[in-house]
Amino acid sequence: MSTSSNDVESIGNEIEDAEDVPLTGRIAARPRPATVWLVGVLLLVAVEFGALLGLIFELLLTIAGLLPGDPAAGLLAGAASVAAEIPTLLSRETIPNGGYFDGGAWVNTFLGLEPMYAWALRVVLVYAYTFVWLAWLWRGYQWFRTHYRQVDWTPRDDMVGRLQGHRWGQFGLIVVVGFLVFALFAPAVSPVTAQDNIYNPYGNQFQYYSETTDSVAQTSAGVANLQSTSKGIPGQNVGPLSYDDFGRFHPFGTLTTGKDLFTYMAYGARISLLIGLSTMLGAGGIALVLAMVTAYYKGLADLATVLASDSVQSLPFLLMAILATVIFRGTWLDSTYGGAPLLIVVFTFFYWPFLWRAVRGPAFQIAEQEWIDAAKSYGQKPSVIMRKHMIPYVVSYMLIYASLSLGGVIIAVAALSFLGLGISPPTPEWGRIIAAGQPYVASPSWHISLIPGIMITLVVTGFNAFGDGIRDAIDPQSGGSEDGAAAAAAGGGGG
Amino acid sequence: MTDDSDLSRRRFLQATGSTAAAASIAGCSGGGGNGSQGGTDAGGTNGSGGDGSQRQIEADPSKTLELMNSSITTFDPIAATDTASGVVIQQIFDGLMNYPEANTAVEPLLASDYQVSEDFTTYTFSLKEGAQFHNGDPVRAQDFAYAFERLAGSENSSRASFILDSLGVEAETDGEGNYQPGSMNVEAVDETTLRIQLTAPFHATLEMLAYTAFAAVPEGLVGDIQGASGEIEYTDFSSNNPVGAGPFQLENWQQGTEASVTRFENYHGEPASIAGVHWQVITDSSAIYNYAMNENVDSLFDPSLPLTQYDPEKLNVQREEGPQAFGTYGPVRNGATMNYYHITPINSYYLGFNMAKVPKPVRQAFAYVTNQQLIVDQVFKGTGAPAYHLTPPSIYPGGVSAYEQHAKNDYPYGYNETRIQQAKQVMEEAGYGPNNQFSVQWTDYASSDTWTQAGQILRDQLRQAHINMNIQSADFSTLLQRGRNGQLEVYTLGWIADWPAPDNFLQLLNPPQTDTSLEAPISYLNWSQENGSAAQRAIDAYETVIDNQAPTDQATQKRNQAYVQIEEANWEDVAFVNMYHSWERRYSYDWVDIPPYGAMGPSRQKFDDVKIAETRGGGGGGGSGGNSS
Amino acid sequence: MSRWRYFLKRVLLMVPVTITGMTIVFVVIRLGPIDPAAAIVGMNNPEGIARIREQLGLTQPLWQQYIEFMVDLLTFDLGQSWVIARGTPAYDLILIYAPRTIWLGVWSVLIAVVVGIPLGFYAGLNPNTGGDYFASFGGIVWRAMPNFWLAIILVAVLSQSQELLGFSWESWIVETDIVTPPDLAFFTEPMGLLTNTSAWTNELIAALKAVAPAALVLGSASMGNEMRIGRTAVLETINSNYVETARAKGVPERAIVWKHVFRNALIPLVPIITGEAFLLIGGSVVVEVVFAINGLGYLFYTAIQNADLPLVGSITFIFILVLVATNILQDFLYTLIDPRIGYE
Repeated sequence: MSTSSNDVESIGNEIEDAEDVPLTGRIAARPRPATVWLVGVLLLVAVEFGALLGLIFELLLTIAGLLPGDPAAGLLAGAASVAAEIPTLLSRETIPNGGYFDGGAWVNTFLGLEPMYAWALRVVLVYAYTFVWLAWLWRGYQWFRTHYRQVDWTPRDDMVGRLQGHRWGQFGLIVVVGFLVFALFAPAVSPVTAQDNIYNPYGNQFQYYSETTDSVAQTSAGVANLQSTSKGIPGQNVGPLSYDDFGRFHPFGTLTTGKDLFTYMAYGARISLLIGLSTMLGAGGIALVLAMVTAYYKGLADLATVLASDSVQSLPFLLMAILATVIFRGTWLDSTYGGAPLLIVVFTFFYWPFLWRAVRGPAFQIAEQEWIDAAKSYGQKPSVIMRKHMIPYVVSYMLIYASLSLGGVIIAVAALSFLGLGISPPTPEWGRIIAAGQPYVASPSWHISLIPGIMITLVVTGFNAFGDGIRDAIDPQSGGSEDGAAAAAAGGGGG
Repeated sequence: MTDDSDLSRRRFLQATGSTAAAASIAGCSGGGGNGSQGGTDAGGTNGSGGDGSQRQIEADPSKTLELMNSSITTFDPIAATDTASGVVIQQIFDGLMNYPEANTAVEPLLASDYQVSEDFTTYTFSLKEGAQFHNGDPVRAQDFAYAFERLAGSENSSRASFILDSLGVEAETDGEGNYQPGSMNVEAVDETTLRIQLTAPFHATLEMLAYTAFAAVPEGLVGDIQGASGEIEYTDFSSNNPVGAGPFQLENWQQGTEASVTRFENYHGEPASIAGVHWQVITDSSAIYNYAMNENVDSLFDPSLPLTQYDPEKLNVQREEGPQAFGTYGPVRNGATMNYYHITPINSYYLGFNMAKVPKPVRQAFAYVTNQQLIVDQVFKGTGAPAYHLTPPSIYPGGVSAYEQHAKNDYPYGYNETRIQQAKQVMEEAGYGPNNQFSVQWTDYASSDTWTQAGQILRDQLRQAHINMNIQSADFSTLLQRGRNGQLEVYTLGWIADWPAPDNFLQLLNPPQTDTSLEAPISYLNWSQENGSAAQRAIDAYETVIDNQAPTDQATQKRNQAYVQIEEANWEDVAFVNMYHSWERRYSYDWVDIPPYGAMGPSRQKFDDVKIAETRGGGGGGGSGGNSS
Repeated sequence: MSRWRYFLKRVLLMVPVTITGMTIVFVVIRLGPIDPAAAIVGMNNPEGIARIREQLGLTQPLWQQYIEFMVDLLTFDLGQSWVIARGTPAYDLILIYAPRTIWLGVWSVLIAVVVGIPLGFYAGLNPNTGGDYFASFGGIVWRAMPNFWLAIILVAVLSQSQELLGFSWESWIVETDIVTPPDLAFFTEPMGLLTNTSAWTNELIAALKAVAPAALVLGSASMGNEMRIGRTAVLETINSNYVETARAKGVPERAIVWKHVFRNALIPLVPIITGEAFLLIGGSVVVEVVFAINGLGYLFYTAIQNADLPLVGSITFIFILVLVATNILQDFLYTLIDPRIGYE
């Protein structure tokens, strides 16, 4: 692929905010905008503090779960449950949607609203909250530019400017943010929690209005689920935007197991995201290190890497992923978090060559620059040169390709799960429900396959658009690098 | 993929068991009024309309039966281990004995008569006169001796242990226990007399010999054993030219696409009433369904109608006879109402526990929460019978009613009940609690979504009993491999009879044979006195079975008592939680009449007595006829 | 470095690449926990397992198995299937299954090229019009759809085509099934075209129709790519100096478009079209499984599910060779046509 070198220089010429007065000093000189902004941030964090803590602990728990021996699992679980106690604005405790109909009115729902409206209100608020955050960050950046930055113009302003005019990229950004919120706020946007509906449905009792006895009765979610299944039989199907016989609202309908599809998808988004990001971090890290080493030392190091990357690229990716998941099924890699670690390892192994190819060119160009030679002659250590003078100029390229490849990873995970090889139950995964719903596509239970498929398409389109946006922002003459992008997409395609 | 599950499950299952089959002991009245005992004509169904269809079909002998199949691997009877191949091999090859229309009572086929010595170890068969192979050669005793030698000694044989271990024909082995070629004590006394010498009595000898692996093959046809001239190449035999003495001969096989056989006019019995059979190979479940709905087949065998497409409401059972049911199913997508038939064949599906890893309270909790009826209804849409014994009802000592009685009165973990509270209690008594959960790994066959569904239901329920279950799928071979290495914890498997007697099933519950530190455990339980109080009872009972192998009433009596003791020991210690006995279903269009198969299942049925009407179609759906080739 | 020396170097590099690739495959296959003996024998006779292991040579030391594996493959001795068609040479199996995959592959490339490139060029020639937006956006979404999902939706729609589309796909033009392997028997008797024209063409059409939906799905990603690249390339060349010059010289617009714009715009499409090989091989498993094409991808999937390791190794080897050959072809085309490419 051809990447123009002029943009590299332009970035290279960018002067990091001159060190005359440190930022803290500048803020001290004019504290008001910074204080206002910070107060805003604190406010925004405060209303969701419990959820934030909960998310952090859950992440730590997941990581701890991956390590053999499960260190500190009990401690973290305890901390997570404490975090759950902290009242948060956007939670099902504040705006409950799970109530029952007592024959005359809805009981235990928010303001006595129908569960559908209570749930919709909460979802709308979650997204509103996110966009308030985005707006506030944008405002912060603008205040920083007007009040604290010493230079009037940097090349980065042009990038931002280009992004501002890039509708397609903005569309991508919105989809990506929407997807991230869907995943991060899964507990808040779902009509029920995964714990109560997917993982431990027999662990809770809830009340419902029984039509047969004409009174309020009690049952467990597990029992109710088995009577709310969608298996393509007319009359025994719970489709999108409908209630089941137990007065539970299902925005996307139910699965063949009677579990809530929307909840399943929200938590499934988490695993797709986890695998996607971990793969990109892993593969990106390897690619970056190799790009540095090959660009700096060239020669044999480069040849060896070319050989390794060509060998990996000569293997048919999806087939090898199938092979690896079949063969390593049942090992410890496959036994935690539904098998996500195995997929991350496999994908990392297959994705680094694509990312390395993508940044090899720019890395070589940087290595040719005079200031690298200058740094060498000053006797700086290679690792320092790479870290300080080379990596910063390559990372943005990495970002483009990572964004473009992420869609491919999401599709590949879904494809493997579709074949019954990827993420194992009970961990929710989108591809698996597409497979589960396959026989019902042309039946009243069409929603099981159709909705996740549309969501994948949307998310992948979003990541592609976002990647396009960044690329055009960084490098307005980058038409030629399309083929590289296509190659990256090709890596994940075929699902 | 969900649904190939059903297909693969079946395929694999058959591979676990074997394609073979059974003969009834416990008075399983094999089936719809057939059974002209002793008749060598393997068919004689004179029942009224096999499928329960009321109309009589004017059979047209020029018609070809159109069916579907999954991928066929080989036509060599000693190499095949899968049902898809077995179905075709069944049409091409004949053996000494046969299960008429897959009924459990064996009858002589190429044999005309047999004698058994007083000590039950010497079997002498007289062969039928005038029987021919497809290549015109007469069927002689030497051909059987050759076929048995191949079974024991050919490198292509996958089933050597049937003749060497299960049947136990006298033979010599070298120091490492490998079979010495040519040492088999099977003798062609003359052209029509075959003598087989066993090392010890075996009560299911005749049933075993009905297995197609024991079918006649012209002497010296394939040169894969010492001393055989090898008239044709092995691959030619296994894929193009399988020469047998069965009612049909192979016409055409396109690997992965289709296979067909045509009537063998010089068949030693009555020539087939149809011109042949054609199988279209389709494995994708939607594809199968579409193919069938376009009336491209005459009959759909379970599991061809995907479980996901199956609507229990459309089933109308009109008549039940023992394990069999006759009725109609429909209207299906094309508007037709199909004739329905099913039998509960001799199979059993169960959850097994590695008892060394899964303590007794946990196993009991599994048994308590398991509601067999619920699983059958929810997961399998009611297409089977809930199982409480490993021994299927039709071969259970005392028959179906004894089975029901015993289960209803004595099953300790709730007959058709989900007992979450008891499960919780038994776990809490053992010291488990919310902060002291037991983690357990469930492994099922990879492509069977059904078992994963069952696992999900149990997992959700077991959460209440402080059991944290992780569900995993492994493909069949990996599952077995890990089982043998003692790495499994909870696993799902099924068993289809090699011979139709409880000991074929209950050997899985013989504690010494379940030790995974052995080279060849038969199930992966590690059942011993350390992890189960009833282990000794099971051991003693199984010894009683071993000591009473003779095919006499007295020995049968003793075996039967021991069988029930083993089942009860299993209840006590929960080595297996029995889940269900799956139905073998069949849906046929109106224009075809296939005799109902017996408990050996459709793969053991020869299609030489099928009737197809002159005109297809008009059975309710206005489709184009099948494309008879 | 001259272009041709560079090309030669690339070709030479492919030898160690193939060997390393196959080594990875061997490591994955043989060091994993899968046991083909268990797949063959099943569980009724555990005694049989040791016998089968001996027969298959699984008792030999690993390094010996590795050397045998590599030597066999590199001498094109593809071995025999162990499980799914016991004793049948892998070569025979591949010969049976490959034509369907090739047939499918050819059409998926053709459909993608025939639809994608013209649409891309159209969008590039009419930038920022409604048609452009429609085509561009459509292409991007089309590309983002997972193959397996698109496939099952398409199958469902075609199965109900009478209700949903108003005509029956199965009986349209010629009678075919929706999910079925194409019958390619007519290829073995090409003379049929002359001697029995109507029947022969009918079979050709039936075979084409049988794979058309699958080819459309398999080509979907490439089609989207080709459209986008085509559009960008046209846009780029149309604004380039020499086109401006030609225009200033009064060369008619039509000639500019055909002679200059399209020819140059085709260059960046080369890697996309060759890159389709990757998409086809990767996607073949899913698409063939859903559409019941019974091709190599399906064979690979069945083989892997049944632990038929020699077959898995052989099929992978074939795929690697195809991909390596495609890479060489791509380099060759580049060397031939594109003077812009840089060789460091």
